[in-house]
Amino acid sequence: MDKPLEDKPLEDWTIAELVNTIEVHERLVELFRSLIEKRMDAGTEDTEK
Amino acid sequence: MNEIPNDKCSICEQTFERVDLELVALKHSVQGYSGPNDPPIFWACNACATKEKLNFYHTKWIEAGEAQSTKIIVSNLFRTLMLSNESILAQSNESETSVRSYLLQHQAGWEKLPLDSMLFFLNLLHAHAQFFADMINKKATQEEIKAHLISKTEKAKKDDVKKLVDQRKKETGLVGEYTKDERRAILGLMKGPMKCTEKAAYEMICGVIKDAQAKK
Repeated sequence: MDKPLEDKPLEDWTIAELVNTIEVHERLVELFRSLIEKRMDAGTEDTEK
Repeated sequence: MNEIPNDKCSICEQTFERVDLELVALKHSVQGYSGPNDPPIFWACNACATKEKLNFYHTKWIEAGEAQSTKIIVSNLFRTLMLSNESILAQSNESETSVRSYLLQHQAGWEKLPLDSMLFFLNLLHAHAQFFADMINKKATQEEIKAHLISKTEKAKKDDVKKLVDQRKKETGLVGEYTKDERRAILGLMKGPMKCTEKAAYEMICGVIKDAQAKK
């Protein structure tokens, strides 16, 4: 079985592993962006009230 | 491993169904932690697990200071920590769904984070995505990246077709894979007065097609 990624030096990562990592990070970025937007909207609503 | 109650969240102490609890293994010692397992291993509900892992990561990141190499290791640790489900499910070729479902499952934890933590993680993950993108650009040619993405898309398309076929099979109760016309004819014969079996109906259709071709 392959070594887990955290035990593998970055220079040994395959293209597939790098692409998947970028995608996971991008998905998390999207998640945080939507959470922040939601929080800001809720904050605006609270201020309006 | 010491006894860990597996129906109770170790953090909020509420009782959950086993399926809603996850085993959090932080892999490194946490300052001030004095539990039975070091590095800490505990059962937590999805919401508490998310917050705990983010707090752990946040602390480790700050501790890493300016050392870029340590930060990258911490960043990678975070990825594997947050998406531990991903590596398990990746073996069944469902990593795409698992990341999404993991995020959904842990939504309650993400939503409870303070705004400044959210901003911190947004900037950090954005920088990391960029870091890995730069790395891949150095390592591989545009053609190699393109080839990988194309093969990935093709695989995704094949998976979609397979899903659709499986869904059709489930809906119709048919076992074999057929074209739209074949499926319609087989279902007609099975449900008609002859009440054929699927196999008999398919053989009958093949016979009709053969006859028609022979006549031509």
